[in-house]
Amino acid sequence: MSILAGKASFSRFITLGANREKIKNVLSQKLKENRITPIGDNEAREESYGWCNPFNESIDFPDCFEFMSGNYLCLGVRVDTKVVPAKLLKIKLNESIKESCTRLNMPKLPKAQAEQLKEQIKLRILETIPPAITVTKAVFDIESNRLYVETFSQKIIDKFEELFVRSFGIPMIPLVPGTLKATKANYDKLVETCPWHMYNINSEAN
Amino acid sequence: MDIFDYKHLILKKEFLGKEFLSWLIFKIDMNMHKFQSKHFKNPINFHVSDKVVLYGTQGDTHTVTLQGGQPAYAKELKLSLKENKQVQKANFIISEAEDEYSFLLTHNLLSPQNLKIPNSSGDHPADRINDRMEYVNRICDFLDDLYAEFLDLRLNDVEKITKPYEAWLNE
Repeated sequence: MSILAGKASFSRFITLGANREKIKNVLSQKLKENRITPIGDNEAREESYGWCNPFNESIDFPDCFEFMSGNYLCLGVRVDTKVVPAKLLKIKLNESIKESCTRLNMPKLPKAQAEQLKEQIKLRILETIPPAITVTKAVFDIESNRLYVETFSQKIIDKFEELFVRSFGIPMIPLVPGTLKATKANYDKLVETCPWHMYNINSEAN
Repeated sequence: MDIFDYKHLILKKEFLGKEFLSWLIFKIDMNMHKFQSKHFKNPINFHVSDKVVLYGTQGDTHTVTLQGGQPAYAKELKLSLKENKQVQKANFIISEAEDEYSFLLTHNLLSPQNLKIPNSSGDHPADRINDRMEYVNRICDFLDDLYAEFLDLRLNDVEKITKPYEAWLNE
């Protein structure tokens, strides 16, 4: 699924208080400040995320205004993750514990020492595996304050929101049945007037 | 929009999405698929497409999936609605002259998914993005207007929903 090509699937948000000129002024600086620092193959970092070029997924964006198309700002969030396979960690840890016990002539390794060993092995494995890379694209309609993010994953949305708020200082609210056209008075009344006999939903609304 | 505890609304007001989708299928049938909207230049045809999923409430955990053909006219649809099942998701098609849009709506999001929109005629990538987002906005605006109409009735004159809806179910 992509918001920029093919069939589109996306979560919708409304942003509060976006100012077109202000965003244009800080766009380049903020995207560069918050761009991803990719995890290198030999690094032991487990996760890194930040803005990337939404069109080629790289971290090279010399001119961020290329991302603006009329009122639409195209954004890309890249998440690099390294996950240590649990089975591999267990096998390597058991081998190391066995070897240490033989070397130290001990029947069992103390817990603290085993934990330390586990951490060392985990770091060694992390250095040998390449990162998995995911890129999520989004389009921000600056004129109407609408934001479309091509994911339903709450984990990715949380990362996007954190970056978006950090970069532009604008809160984003999801547009779902509970918030579309919402005011608090509206919803208090909706619950009061719910035609329970028809919808049979009292257990959900209370 | 007021800023208040929206996270509470997201979790607690999901039922409105199910009510809306059930009402939308009823409304499409009542309008005989013909709709006018300020977001489209021409009158549009709005159809339930090839899939409707209904889901039970209050301990009824059976899900009914009507797939293939025209589920909006399947007798199982009204039977399920009469049994207090509600529409959880459905595929829709909108056509305006030569343009066609198809999408899936689910009760918890009310954002079109798998949205297929007409091809852009623009040559430049920027034109294509502009065209694409115009189409996306158009569909979202149209659906939001219908949702607003539903909410307005639901808030101010719920009998305008329930009476014709019940009559339709018993047709």
